[in-house]
Amino acid sequence: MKKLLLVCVFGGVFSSAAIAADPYERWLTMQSQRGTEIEFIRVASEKPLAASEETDAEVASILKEIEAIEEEDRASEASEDSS
Amino acid sequence: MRLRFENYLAVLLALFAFTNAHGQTVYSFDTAEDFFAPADSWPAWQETLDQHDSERQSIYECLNNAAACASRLKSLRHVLLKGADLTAEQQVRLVNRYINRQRYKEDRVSSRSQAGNQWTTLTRFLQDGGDCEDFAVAKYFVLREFGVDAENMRIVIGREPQRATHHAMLAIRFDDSVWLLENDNTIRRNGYQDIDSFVYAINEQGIWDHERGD
Repeated sequence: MKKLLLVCVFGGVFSSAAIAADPYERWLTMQSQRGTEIEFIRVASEKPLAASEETDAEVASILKEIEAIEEEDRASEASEDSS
Repeated sequence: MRLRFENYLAVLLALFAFTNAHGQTVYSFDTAEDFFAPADSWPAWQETLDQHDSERQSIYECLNNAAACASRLKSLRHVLLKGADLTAEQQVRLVNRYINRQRYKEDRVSSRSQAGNQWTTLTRFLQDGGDCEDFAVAKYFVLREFGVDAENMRIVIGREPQRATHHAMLAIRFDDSVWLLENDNTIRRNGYQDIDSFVYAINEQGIWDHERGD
């Protein structure tokens, strides 16, 4: 039991240390503290997350109209491309 | 023996509390000490702001005359005209959902490989899409057209330790809360679970370095 607890404690400490050693963080900190010309990294991103809807009837109604406009737009672009 | 066990238990509980405290990272606008520099200190960002400013003319022409709208601006016109009558919260929801409909395009580059213009204007984004920071910037520009004050919005960049990357989103300050607009249509009002810490933030007024004191 004692060993198990020690493993848990040190495991937590070491994983926190690993996060703090993130090179992006170090770079950003150094850059922001010392750089005269600021140059940040471009923010990387993973694919978008799964959608979870915010519902609001009025907003949803406008979005439906937008969908129709965009659909019409795509159709006219497609017909221009084919002609 | 019993005392020792209790000591270990206390350490474990402290670690657990520490982890949970970082579980929901809340963004705060009340960080005057983090102000780093005016926006024009970052040429790429200022260039994007200037470019957007010049492109607003075509947005206004489109608003005044539907026939003058470039194809990608037609939907924006509808958002701005229809959204004008909504409440501020509804406008935020509308803009979040509208911008999130646009094309997602990964554009991972490093600071070393490309040091040019790193940001996308609204009209270019509506044409070509973009990735998370472009979504956040586009939401910022549309909400500015609705009259939301620049001082109440920032494009914030946080660190996601789980994915060893950074993530951008738009933060909006309301009376008693900060909304974080995600590109999956979520609006987070009680902090962000996946963000370990906020690194920096920008708007047309300045740059905030949230790790300055670290």
